Amino acid sequence: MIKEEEDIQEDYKWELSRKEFMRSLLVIGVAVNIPFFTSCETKEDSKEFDCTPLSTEQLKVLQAVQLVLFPKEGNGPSALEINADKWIVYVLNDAREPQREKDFIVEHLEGLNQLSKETHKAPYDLLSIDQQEGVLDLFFGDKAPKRWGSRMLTLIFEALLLDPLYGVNPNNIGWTWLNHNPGAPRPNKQNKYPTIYTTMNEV
Amino acid sequence: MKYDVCVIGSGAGAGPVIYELSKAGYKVVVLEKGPWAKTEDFNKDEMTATRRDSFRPALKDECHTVVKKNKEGKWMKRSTYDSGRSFWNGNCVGGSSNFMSGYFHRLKPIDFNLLSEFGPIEGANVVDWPINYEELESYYEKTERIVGVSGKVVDHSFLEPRSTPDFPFPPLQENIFSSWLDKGAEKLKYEIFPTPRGIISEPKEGRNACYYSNYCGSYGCSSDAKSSSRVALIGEAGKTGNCKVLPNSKVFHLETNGDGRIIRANFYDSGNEKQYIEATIFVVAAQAVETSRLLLMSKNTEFPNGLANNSGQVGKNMVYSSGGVGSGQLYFSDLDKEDAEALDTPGLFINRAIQQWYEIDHPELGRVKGGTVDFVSEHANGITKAIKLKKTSGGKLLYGSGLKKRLFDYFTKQRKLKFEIFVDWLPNDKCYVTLDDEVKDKWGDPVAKIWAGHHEHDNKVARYLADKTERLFKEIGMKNVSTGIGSSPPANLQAGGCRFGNDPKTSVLDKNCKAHEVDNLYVSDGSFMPTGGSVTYTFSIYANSFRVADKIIADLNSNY
Repeated sequence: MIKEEEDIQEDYKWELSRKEFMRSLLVIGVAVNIPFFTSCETKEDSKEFDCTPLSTEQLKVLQAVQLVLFPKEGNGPSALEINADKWIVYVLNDAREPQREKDFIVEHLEGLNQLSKETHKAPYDLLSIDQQEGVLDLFFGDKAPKRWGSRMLTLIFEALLLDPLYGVNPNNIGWTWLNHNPGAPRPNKQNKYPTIYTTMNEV
Repeated sequence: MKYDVCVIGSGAGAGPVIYELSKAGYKVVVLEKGPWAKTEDFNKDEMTATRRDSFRPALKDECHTVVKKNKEGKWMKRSTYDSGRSFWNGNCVGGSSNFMSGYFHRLKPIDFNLLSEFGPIEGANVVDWPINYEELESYYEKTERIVGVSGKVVDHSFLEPRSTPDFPFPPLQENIFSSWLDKGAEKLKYEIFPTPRGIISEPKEGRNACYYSNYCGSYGCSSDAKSSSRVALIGEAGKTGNCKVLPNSKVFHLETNGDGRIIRANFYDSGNEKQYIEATIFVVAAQAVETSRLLLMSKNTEFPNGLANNSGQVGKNMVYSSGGVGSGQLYFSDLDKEDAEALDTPGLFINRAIQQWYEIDHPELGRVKGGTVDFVSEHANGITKAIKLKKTSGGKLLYGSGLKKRLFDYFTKQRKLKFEIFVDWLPNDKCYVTLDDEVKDKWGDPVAKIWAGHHEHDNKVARYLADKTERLFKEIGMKNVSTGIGSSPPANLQAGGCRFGNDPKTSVLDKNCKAHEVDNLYVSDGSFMPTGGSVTYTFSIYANSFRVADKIIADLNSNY
């Protein structure tokens, strides 16, 4: 079977250097003095889970934008119902994920919030839905943020359709909605990612 | 300890050599760069298998660089670490044969004589093979029997000569769509036939039959029905007590003695320590790109351009199995309930192919080599399907309710069926492998730099086949029928780089796949192929490796 390019982890990487990103922020008029990777200072407020390396504010922005990308409107589960926010935090803590790719996610999350403050004098999560969509459309007007949006959607799809063993797609909610057959055998604790790397090397 | 044979790699090109030499009583050591994944390590988890590529090296540790022509016609280099498009295929014991789909078409007699049959093509390095179909036929039969191939022989214009009337395993179960294709083909007078598969439909020596998991290509098999080198051959070789497999052993240099012979294979072990193995004969089967890379890396004063490369041929004339991919959709609302449910049944195979246009005589194209069309279901990978829906055809990013509706409709209201076109990838001067001195792997060694030059002729032939096949899809009522003709090399279907031939000036290997310049070096993966035929390579790689095994046994018997 030919592996089409689109089948091979389309947009899994995005070839964006930090320099390009900074340039893109300047283009959309965002201040560049961004507090990257501030830790989750008030984890109690972030509701339920340790969001490190995201700050509480970053988590709120993440949850807000995920609900715009994949809303709760009656047709299937929302991003938060499939634990897409927790999935992003998992990815940000995955030692196998290249650091530049984690940086890309967080830097653009910050970029979106900065654009919101620039255009509406308020953080992104406090805007109305219409305002959030407007800011997002403006944000996506540039190439790199659009790639970030594409990446965010891919991660939402992972939360929607991966095995619940990964803490996403609870009670098969995504599979049920899309009538998706996951195949068998399903992963177990020994052969799931990333444990499989250890299991394969056991003698 | 000095082994009789040291095999580098353990995939389809290595397995038959490992199996036959071990069975013949020779001491065989296998150096495999990846881990030894067992059947119980495989599952149907999209995360493990494809989203995070757990069976391929991390690209930050080991990448390739690929040089392709851009839209402006300039050759541009890009690292696979930057693009995210891995050129690795299944780095573990059994190699990429663990993850193949197993479309097992034989080459045709005309594939061995492309130059004689069709004449030269400007800009292409077409040559005849130094062997003919008859010399490989018995090894195809052996592969069918020992490795395991299922199918049903149906006569058609380009059915290759066979020494047995049929495949040793009956065909796999089929989706109702196959019967619709048959009816459409009959109307159009197309010669459609069941696709042979490297998947067994009945149990065989400890291997279970296919259980129709719905996740085959890109996934390791959980029933051992897929005819991987690991399951079909290496496991059996291990039972002889003559075969030792060393996983996580990355060979980086083959050392010669100054007299044209290899004395040891130097490798990094699982702790990244340098080790070596001594053997009488060395067999390289690391998959085409990496085989060329290893030979090019094995420089010394005797071979300043790389091992067996005093002719400058190592890495040249790479070929890929490709052509194009087409698709069409069937909407459940257009079908009666029974047919819709049957179409939606997961796991069953389409298993149909057409080779009626393996040779074409056309007013515009002339008499040219054609190709194969295989019919397949869209892969069951849910996330991959969803990813394709997030952008409009104009490239706009969809989100919100519109995206969710699109997802729901795609997953629940239709099925996409596909066809894959395989034409010859004409070997040419811009399709080769060399070392990239600017990019190193985690051990500090240069990565392979893959030049992916493509000949325009291939696209014309693929377009011809696409037009014919699209007609069939439309005949049976499919919607949104289209084809993408491709010039990108599919990483999982690679061959060439160490051509076999009779002239040491224009080939790396002799007709037995022994290096012209190195007495005890054989190459038994797809590297030997000077042209690739218009089918996927794995079946032919298996068959040729069985042939090479016989040559090595004869060599050992008479010369050592």
